[in-house]
Amino acid sequence: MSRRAARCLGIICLLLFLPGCWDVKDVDNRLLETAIGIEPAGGDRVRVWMRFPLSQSQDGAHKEFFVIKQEGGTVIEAIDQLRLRLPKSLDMSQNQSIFLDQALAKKGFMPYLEFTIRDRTVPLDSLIAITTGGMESIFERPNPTGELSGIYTKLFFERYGGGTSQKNVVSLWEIFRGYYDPLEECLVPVLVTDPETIFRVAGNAFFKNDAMIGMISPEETLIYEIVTGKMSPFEIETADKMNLKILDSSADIDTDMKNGKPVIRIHAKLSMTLMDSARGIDIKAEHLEASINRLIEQRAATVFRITQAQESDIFGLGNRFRGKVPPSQYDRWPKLYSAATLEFKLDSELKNTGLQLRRRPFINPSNEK
Amino acid sequence: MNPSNEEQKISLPQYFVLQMMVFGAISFHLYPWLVLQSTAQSYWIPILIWMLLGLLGAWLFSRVLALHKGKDAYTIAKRVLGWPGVILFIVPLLWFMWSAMVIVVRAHSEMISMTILHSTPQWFLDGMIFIGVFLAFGGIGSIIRASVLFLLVSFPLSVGLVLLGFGDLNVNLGKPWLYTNGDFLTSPKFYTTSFVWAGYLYYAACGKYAEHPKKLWRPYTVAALCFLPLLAASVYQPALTFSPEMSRILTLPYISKMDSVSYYWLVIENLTAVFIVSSILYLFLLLALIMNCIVTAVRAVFPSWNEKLLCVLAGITAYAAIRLIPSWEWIERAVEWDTALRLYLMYGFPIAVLAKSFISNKMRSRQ
Repeated sequence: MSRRAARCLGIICLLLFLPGCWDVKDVDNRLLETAIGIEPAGGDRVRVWMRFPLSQSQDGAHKEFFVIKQEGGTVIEAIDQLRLRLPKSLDMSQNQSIFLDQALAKKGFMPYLEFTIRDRTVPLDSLIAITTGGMESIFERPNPTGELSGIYTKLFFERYGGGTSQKNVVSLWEIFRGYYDPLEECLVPVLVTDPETIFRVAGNAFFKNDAMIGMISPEETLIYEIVTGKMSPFEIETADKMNLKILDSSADIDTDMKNGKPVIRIHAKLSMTLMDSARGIDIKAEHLEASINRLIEQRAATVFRITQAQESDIFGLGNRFRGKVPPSQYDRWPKLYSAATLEFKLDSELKNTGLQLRRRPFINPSNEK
Repeated sequence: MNPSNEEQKISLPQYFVLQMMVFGAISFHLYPWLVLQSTAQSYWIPILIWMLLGLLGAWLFSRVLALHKGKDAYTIAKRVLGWPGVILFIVPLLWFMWSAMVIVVRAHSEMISMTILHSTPQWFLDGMIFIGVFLAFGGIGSIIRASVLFLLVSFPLSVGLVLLGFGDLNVNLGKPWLYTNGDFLTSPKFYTTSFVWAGYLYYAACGKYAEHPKKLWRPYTVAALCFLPLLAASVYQPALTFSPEMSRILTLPYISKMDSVSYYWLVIENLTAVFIVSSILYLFLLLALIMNCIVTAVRAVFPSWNEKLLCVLAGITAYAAIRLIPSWEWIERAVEWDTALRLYLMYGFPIAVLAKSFISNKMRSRQ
């Protein structure tokens, strides 16, 4: 019996290890950071910004968030220096968004962000955006609509929140894919400060390897969304003064190698509905569809021209050439892309005219004189 | 200690459960990395080739066990090949199993400290080997009973995680889908991937409880078919999400894939922690099974030695070895170095035993 009791005691002692809380830091002893900003600080140095939401119980100064910035030789060094100034343990595991200054993006993002993939300090699904005009206005101002810090950016971009097709949403891992995969480049949103909300999307930066080399406008981003099939169903286009809502899009992409040159044919389809017909103007559906086709095809031609000139395949079209090009040639893809023949054809279809008929109702001519 | 073990019978479904635990414990850490490194073309071809070779090995091994029904593989080796059999088979197998245990425990403790428990000291995490020792005390019966229970928890978790990983996939990244130039044949990594399919070797000790040892390849086949989609997913999901080029530079591609999964409706934020929990459940049972194999092997040579003491001894020596492993890179290399020995045990040994018994049968019939 006593042996049995000893065994039970032994098992209970072992149970003590089960919670796995070795050197654990309680939540109230941590500072959970939700947004990181990285900007140049002169020379090779960088300045790291962090924003921490504060819970209500801690609001001695009635502040909803706390912002701190620190300079350092590298991002990790700056974060390490930050810890010398913080009263609690710095926890980056709840980070929601990373802002990178345009100047650093142009130099190449890898030296500043590589730590995120090497070490699991920051979640790989954090959002990433490029900013212009300094971090101060993004980090120091309170959120105008009252969300917790960090959530604001997430809501701003994600499709379940305020995201639209023109706000291209990019996770941290996606920019690493753009860097490591020679057959595609990444497209990262560029934010500028806005006097009323905190920021607005000015366009999307495209990259070569890890360096930003140019930017396309939000309207041009639609082409990217159509080709990659990421279009979300609510997007307004204006043609002949009429506003059309794009409901759905699909793209058939046909790829081929001819004489060592890639040939890419893209056949996209859009289905739309009428949002607002400029009153008094009556245009046939075919005519409207044709002008939408023309408008978007022209825009596509511009985007292809810009990206081909810079050898930046933001559409990931190169991935379709896996197997058609030997793996040893993958590194040559940017060159091949810039020499590629790209055809873009759009078929749009006006599905319906909303709850109001577009036709003018036919009324029997009155017999009264 | 466990007299019931002597007349114990293990049914084929129970063997299936054991094999599932083996697959679960060794599938997800090194395997995706090795397959991605081994070829630049279709990944499913090297995966499938090794699966078929694994089935062949399992079939050969079940033939060996069927030579003397009710005896374990060690006794059979000793009977058929005599003392050379002990040296040619039991010693290499002992080394293989012991080193498999060392590597798998260290791989998991590295994974745990890389992912969830950053501050827990490694020496403590490595101590999980003693849970395996504790489980092995109960003998094969309790190992199987625990396996059934653990599998009910961990397999649905594994399947669920794989299903969640189907977001964010880009099919174009897996091209070419139907083409290979056989480049993997020249890659040592391809041969290293055989470690996932060597699970039938762990039937060496418990195979003697089978009613029909000849049929032992069947539970292995069913388990392999159950795990094939999961293994394929562990390779393809990172490749189709991150691109093969990026997956190749990741230490644990499948874990990084799980880090990248994000759904608005998903309540659990840290899928990696769920994954680790499920793979640890597999691991405990695998450790107990290996321990059981080791003890049986030693007792085939020295029948009078105490079972429990041997368990503890195996645990302590393995723990000491685990503590001596310097780095993750070393684990990768150790699995690679083990390849020749593993292939010898998987195919060379069963073929040798079958050939010897075939020849002696012929000679006996001639006399």
